[in-house]
Amino acid sequence: MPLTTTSTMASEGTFNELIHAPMRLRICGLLRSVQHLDFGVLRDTLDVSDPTLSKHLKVLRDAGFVTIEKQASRMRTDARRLTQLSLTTAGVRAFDGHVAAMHRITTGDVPRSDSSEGTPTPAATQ
Amino acid sequence: MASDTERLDTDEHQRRLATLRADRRALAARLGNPRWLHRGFGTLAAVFVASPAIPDGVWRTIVLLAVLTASLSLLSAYRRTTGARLSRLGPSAATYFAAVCAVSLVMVSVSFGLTAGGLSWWITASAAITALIVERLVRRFVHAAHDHLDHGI
Repeated sequence: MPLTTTSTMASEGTFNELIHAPMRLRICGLLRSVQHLDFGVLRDTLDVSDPTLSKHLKVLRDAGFVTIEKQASRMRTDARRLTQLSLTTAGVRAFDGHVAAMHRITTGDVPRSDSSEGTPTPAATQ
Repeated sequence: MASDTERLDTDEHQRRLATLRADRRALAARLGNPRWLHRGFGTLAAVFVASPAIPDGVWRTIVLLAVLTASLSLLSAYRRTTGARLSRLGPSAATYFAAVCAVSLVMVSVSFGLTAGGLSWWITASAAITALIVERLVRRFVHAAHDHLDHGI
């Protein structure tokens, strides 16, 4: 049986399926370590395309985990704006809980999800 | 004994955690530790330490305000250049920051003493020494902050 829990468990170390998707996990991981990060820096560090990153950021923003702010840049001569990204407080909490859950799973210290927690969610694969 | 599915799941989680660490390491490497930042703060610290040579009054205040403004501008330029604003610097970086403050304050006290003793020209030496020390401390500060980013969380 796959190790799955829902994202609504109210305890530390909560597994979050939305964050667990590989790219979204990496996005949250990088944003967790900074206060703000430019879109371009995040894209280059993750080595992904703009549309791919935008798609995942939209999911995270809609979930209330990420804020996206556009700012005018003095370093640009065109009308483009810098996009600054950061994790929200809910995002920080969800990510920390998710990582804690992953650590617990990898160390084998896992309270197994039982049937009362609902239907196992298929692992995110994006 | 763990089933194959659980084993695979555990391996997958370990891989993802390893990827998180690798991403942080890549980001820390990308941010860099530019020499202009060290030299900039070293120079500003030197100006601060040399400020007692300026007669007390509006000009000294203007110079100190200029040093403060330039420090903030330098920090802002570094953030713009790297595209990142670090949230947590870690204990090592905090120690280096405290050391920069302590060195600057001690050396400016020395400068005041030199001025009071009529040895104003020796402030040049005091400022030069400060510039060298602060330059090295800032380099270590940035390195420590990146190291914390790499190994933190």
